[in-house]
Amino acid sequence: MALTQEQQQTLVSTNAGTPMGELFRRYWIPALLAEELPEPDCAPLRVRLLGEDLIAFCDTSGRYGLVGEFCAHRGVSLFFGRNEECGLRCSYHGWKYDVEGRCIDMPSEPEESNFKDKVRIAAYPLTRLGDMLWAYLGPPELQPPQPEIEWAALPASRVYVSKRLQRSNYLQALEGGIDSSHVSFTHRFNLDSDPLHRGSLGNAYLKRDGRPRFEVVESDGGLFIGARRNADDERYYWRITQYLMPWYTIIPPFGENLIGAHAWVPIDDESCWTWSINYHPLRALEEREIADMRAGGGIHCVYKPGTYEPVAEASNDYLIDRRAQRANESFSGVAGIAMQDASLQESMGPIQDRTKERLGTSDSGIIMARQRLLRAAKALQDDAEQPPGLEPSAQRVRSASLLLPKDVPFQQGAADALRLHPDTAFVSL
Amino acid sequence: MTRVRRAAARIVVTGAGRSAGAARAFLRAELDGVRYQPLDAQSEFDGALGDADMLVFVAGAAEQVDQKRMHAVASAARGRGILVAAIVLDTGPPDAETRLLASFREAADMVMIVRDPDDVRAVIAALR
Repeated sequence: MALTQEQQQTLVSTNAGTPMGELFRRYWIPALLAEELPEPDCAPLRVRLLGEDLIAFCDTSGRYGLVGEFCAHRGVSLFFGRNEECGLRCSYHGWKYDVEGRCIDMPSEPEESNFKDKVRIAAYPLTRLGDMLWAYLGPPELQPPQPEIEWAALPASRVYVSKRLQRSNYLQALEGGIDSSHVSFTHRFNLDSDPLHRGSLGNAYLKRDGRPRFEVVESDGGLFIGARRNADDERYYWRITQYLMPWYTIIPPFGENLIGAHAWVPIDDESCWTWSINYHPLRALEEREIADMRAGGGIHCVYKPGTYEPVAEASNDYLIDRRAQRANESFSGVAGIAMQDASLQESMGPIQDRTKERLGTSDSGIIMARQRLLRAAKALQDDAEQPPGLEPSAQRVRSASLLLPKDVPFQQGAADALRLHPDTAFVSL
Repeated sequence: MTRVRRAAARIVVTGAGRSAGAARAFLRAELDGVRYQPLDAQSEFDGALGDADMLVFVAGAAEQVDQKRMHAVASAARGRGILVAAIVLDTGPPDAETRLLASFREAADMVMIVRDPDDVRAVIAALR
């Protein structure tokens, strides 16, 4: 048995009050794209995070609010409310809430009553960084500094962010991002043709050696996951992925192409938002690159109109093309890197049963990531220990792909490449 | 319908020094399918590898291991198609590199460097 039932349950359950749910609430959470709340007094949005039903809105003065979905009065959804005059007004009896969850108007009660001053709904900080809105659902007194992951702190012109609905627990999606060995199979026929991967010298090494050896080392904020492949007699080709607590990965770069990164944020225990980010630390993204990403290139996907749901989905078998599979145009027959991953991860079922899996040596990153999550959740629960990765210093890291002499361990040979030095190029092959 | 029941993978754990000793004590007590085998027990090792799925070396980063013997055992395991992994408990400076680590890197399909002794147990349990 790989994981015990108890470990599995701890890892996949993220509602309030669960060990992992409480752990995740201590981090800033990628919650929305800024485009979803485009202007003051725009339509409020339903948001579900970590199993919690919320409403996001941008008030008249441009402040973002994230409040409990239901009116304190009779439990009506504030999605149907009116976003007006610095508050969200329930359409049933007119009770109105500000971004801090205070009831600021109660027109259904006598004017002289102060009852409204005694009524509040849940409210959480929601703040904009670049083109994303981040939420914090934890105890106010323990709110950490804003995220300083490289892509979160760059000017918006250097970053492209998309999100897509994934119908699986966050963990199997995250584990897909940590599992570097699948790239040589699942994505092998995309590397030369995909606009955001082609032209990398590393592609040849990836395809030539499908049996990387792994070396996993704890970092302050997560893990360094080094995958080494034979390059020539004297050197290894290293691809070093960063796993950052609790759900981030930074993909090793491919040549001069943009760096890719992910976050997998639980909506509830059976679905998550897959955030896909491409960025360049030194320059604005080119029109061509943005067009490619909007068209579903790289780690992004094509949406159903007006949604963040992929067109390719389980009900249409992810538009699998058996001819393309036979012709070695796509290893699995599914088009696009994002949906190749999603199709396989969703095929495990909403929550993969990890008590029945068989892990091998190439799963070392997954094993250690689970261990870090379990350990952090337990330390928080038992000893109120601060979770790892909250300090900005632990977030200032990069991934890298490079050649190193065979006798040089990646922790030493790539030490500088794995640290974030603002306004410098990344190390990539 | 035939129901398939999977037996736990058989893992042989070996190593040297105090950290390996601690792992041995735990493994004996709690993990089915895991067998501890001292690295220097030549004849018993051959038998232990016979039906193993995986060989796991466990050692502290600063500990002394008979590297010649370790490579011989790893080579024997590989010759039988057995996966080889190494877990190194490194409580020293994060960037410290030791001869042992370099040696494991050559011998094993996977090297994990952990800081917490409990992780040794967790990793072996996950690999079963």
